[in-house]
Amino acid sequence: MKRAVLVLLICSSFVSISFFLELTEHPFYVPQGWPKPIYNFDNNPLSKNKFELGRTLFYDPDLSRDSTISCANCHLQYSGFTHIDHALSHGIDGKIGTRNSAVLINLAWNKFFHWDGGAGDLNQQAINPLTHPSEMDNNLKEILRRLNNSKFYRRRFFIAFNDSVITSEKLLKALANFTVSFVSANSKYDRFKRGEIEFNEQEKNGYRLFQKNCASCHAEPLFKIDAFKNNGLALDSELKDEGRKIITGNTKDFTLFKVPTLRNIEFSFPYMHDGRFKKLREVIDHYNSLPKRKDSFSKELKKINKPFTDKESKDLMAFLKTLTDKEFLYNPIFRFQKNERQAQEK
Amino acid sequence: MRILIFLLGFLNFNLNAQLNFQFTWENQTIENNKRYYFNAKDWIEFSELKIYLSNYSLSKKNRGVILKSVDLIDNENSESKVILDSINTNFFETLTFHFGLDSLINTSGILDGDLDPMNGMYWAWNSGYIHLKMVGKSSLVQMAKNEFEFHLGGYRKPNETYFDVTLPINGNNLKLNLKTLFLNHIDFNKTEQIMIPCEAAKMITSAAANLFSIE
Repeated sequence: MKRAVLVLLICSSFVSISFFLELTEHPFYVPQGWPKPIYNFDNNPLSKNKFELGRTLFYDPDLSRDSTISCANCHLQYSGFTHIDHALSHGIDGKIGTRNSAVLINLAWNKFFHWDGGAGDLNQQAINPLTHPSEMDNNLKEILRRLNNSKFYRRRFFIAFNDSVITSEKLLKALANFTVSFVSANSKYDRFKRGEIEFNEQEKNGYRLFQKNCASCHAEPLFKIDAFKNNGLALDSELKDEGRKIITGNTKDFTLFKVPTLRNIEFSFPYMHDGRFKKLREVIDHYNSLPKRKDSFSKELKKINKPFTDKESKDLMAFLKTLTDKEFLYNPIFRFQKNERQAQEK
Repeated sequence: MRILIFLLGFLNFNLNAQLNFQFTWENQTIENNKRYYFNAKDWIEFSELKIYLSNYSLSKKNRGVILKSVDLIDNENSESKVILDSINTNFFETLTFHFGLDSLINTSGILDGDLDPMNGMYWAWNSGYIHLKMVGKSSLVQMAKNEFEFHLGGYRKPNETYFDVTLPINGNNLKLNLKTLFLNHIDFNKTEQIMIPCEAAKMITSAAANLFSIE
């Protein structure tokens, strides 16, 4: 009898492992030499249970009004958690929004969220996509009603928060516990910086050009700064997106957008706040068009007085591709855990 | 000893010692969905009145005690209107508080209790709180249905809408006189709707900050 129980235990634990990936600890870490994270962990202590709950919620379409789309619809892991191949992301009922969904990378170091910086805190940020009429178009009351009606979620929230009553705070903190863990710091660039590998000549030259011309806004090691800039894109006549001005009401902020990270840029196309460029080369060509323009854009870009040559453009692109972190993009712990629910409902 | 006397101030000499909040129309306490008059003919009624006050502290002779940090008052919910309970208001001389929520609270990421985004005082697209919400009807609104809607908030400079208020304690009711606010600081011919942080929101809230009293 004892033996049978033991066999059964071994079997069931084997089954659960094969069903979904259970963590031993929360995967967030601060890479060596990086600045102190901005995210307030005291307010939402990391725990593997909250991470796993956040992951389930992130992939659950039931959070949207008609239960058709989840956070992951516009934030796919293998593209750096953005909406690959869609200039403007589409949400519920196929509705097209006005912006290219942002990448979710190294969020613990973000001071601002959204292209216009409308959200100043990662916990609060998720309310916008959950409730936006062209994104998930739900409201918090309805979401909490659904979650509180689910035995599965009540149990999961109890495991994560020691309380099965689901509130907006717990929902948002579980999501943030998951998304804050998207640390990408193991690209070819990172390994080069750690002295593990060498860059080839093209990458070396691209890196040199990058440091000289791009790094004032896309500063290492995060490849961004917490600021809003006009990078010389003409105002789209249909979208008329005023960027940061929408948030501050300040005319000086007209068409300023948040500087995005360049990490995993190879796979996060299309580019820019409205996704107007499909290829990296188009982005470089845009910057190459600036030196002869007289209109206003950021002072950092004014400093670049001549376009890159074709060779330089290629070298720069070769460097940008060293920012691809396949380990991050394909990390199984961030993936949808196919049979998680069934496994836990047993 | 002085500390002891100070702490004794909290003891309940007056068993009903409470400090309550009231939205007032001059001398009348405002109830939702009732008519109040500017003059013989023009009226106003409120369907929703909500306000955030924060960082209350009581003091006497430069010694202060910090109390509740965030308080959402909903005119429809009488419990929410109790600001301080079991406090001997006679002992203290002044009450200091913030009208609105400062940028620290707005970006704290604390989302429970009075800061729960479900309370209908939260903007998702421009994340932050509405500090004063006034919704209703008035004969002075020329638009169809006479409706007005003011969502006044925002913590970013230059249109931040939180203010320090210090008042002498002359009673048990903290009042905000909306008649003066609507009469002198809101022109329905110019605007009957504000839904974003902006200069107009700052002007109205900065005027409101001077219309509190404790009586």
